[in-house]
Amino acid sequence: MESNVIVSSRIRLARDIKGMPFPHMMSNADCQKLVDKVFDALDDIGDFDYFQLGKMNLLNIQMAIESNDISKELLKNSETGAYAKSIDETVTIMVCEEDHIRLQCIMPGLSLRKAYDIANDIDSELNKSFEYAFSSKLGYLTACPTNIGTGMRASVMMFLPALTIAGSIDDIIATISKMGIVLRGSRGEGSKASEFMYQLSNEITLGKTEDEIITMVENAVLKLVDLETNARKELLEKNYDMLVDKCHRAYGILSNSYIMSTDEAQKLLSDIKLGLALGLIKIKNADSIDDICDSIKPYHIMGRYGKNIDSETRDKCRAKYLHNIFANTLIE
Amino acid sequence: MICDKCKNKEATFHSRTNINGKITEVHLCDECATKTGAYSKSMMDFNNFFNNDPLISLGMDELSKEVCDFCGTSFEDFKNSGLLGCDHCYDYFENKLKDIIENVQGANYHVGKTALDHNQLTYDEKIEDLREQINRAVDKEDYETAAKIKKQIEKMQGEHNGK
Ligand SMILES: [Zn+2]
Ligand SMILES: [Zn+2]
Repeated sequence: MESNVIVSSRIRLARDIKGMPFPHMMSNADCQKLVDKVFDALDDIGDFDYFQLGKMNLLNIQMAIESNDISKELLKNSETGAYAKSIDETVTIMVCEEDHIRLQCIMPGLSLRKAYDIANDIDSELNKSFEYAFSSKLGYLTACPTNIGTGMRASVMMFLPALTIAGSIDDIIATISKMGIVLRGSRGEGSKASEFMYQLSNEITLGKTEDEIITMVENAVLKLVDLETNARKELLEKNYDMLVDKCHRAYGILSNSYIMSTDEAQKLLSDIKLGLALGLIKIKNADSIDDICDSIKPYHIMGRYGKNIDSETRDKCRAKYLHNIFANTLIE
Repeated sequence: MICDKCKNKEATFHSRTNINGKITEVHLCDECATKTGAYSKSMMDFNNFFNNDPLISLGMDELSKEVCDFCGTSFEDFKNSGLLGCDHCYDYFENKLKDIIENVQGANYHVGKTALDHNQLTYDEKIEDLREQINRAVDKEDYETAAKIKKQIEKMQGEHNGK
């Protein structure tokens, strides 16, 4: 059960260069110099693809944001903001975001330690080329004091449909916030209930070691896995028929529509995911369901179309795309 | 009553706040109240993050106008954006940041990974530096911090001897 509650683990390290104004105080020319230096240093560390926002078209940038490759924050620096992505797609390094360097490593399942080891190695290598802003008292010095100390945010993406349906999330948020843990809907406001996806992470970054922070987050994750597992059992006992109907109904609409908005598609896909997690529906493309969730977002639709299109046209494209994906994939 | 700030014109803006029993009164003339934003900043919408009464900070108005000598960021800029301008700001605004950091982080001392030291401070110099920090913490009766630094020294000694 654990595997379909925990989606992925992410370690993010914030680093800044000693004696260099933070990105929001830098000229474009200085940002560009930093980007070049970071990319040079990365070349010796591993295999990366390099991207500069100023040289990308807006469609591709927005797609990268929709896929959570990069943050909206990076777009504030739309001319010289840049990022590198490892060939295996696990590591992304943003340059000139809120901090000079934002290094993140994402791995499937509960693998914060593995992700930290990878991020930590790259960080130590980069540190040989750059002297970091660091004080023995406050640790890594970042643009915002909420990130000082370790500069580390350890997050785990979780799929919590049963707790959401049971209406328990608000209580959980209040309880675990006392443990220094933040739980928030992962894809921005509005879509949180429909997607059942949440991100759990450490609130504080100072006064605890990386290891202590990871242990803290892991413990909270395991507690939530227990709660969700029990809530799923209860949900199945009480609402079995309704749930089987719900996910098959979602399948029916997803594979047979002419117009489909992003919101509706996300809601229906969440219902399918719920059905898959509880073993109530079988479809051939179950493994790629998370990719499908990304691929129906507006800029992904336009990316495949090759140009900007209005929302009515997008909704028709989305319906056709989903029909092609889902038609005849139901395993009876 | 005369304006607290320019000590010249008649005060028209009066405010009295009670924070944990400490009463702060501010009296400003129309011009100074407008300039410092006392009118426009409603007492409520001020960012709770700073847990800092706006009128107290008006009282410290002169301090707020001080800027980091390296990057030119003022404490006011930081309050507005939540971002400091450079790493020197942490030294420059040390006293004012102290409470904010403790408030947000619930801690005031780093115990995690250490950045590579490009200045090549020797191991002995680093230990000496930390010992001085312990003394300073003990002077301030901040035994919790002293204990944390001691743990840090032990960790460094362990790593050093392991090499
Ligand atoms: Zn005045
Ligand atoms: Zn500064």
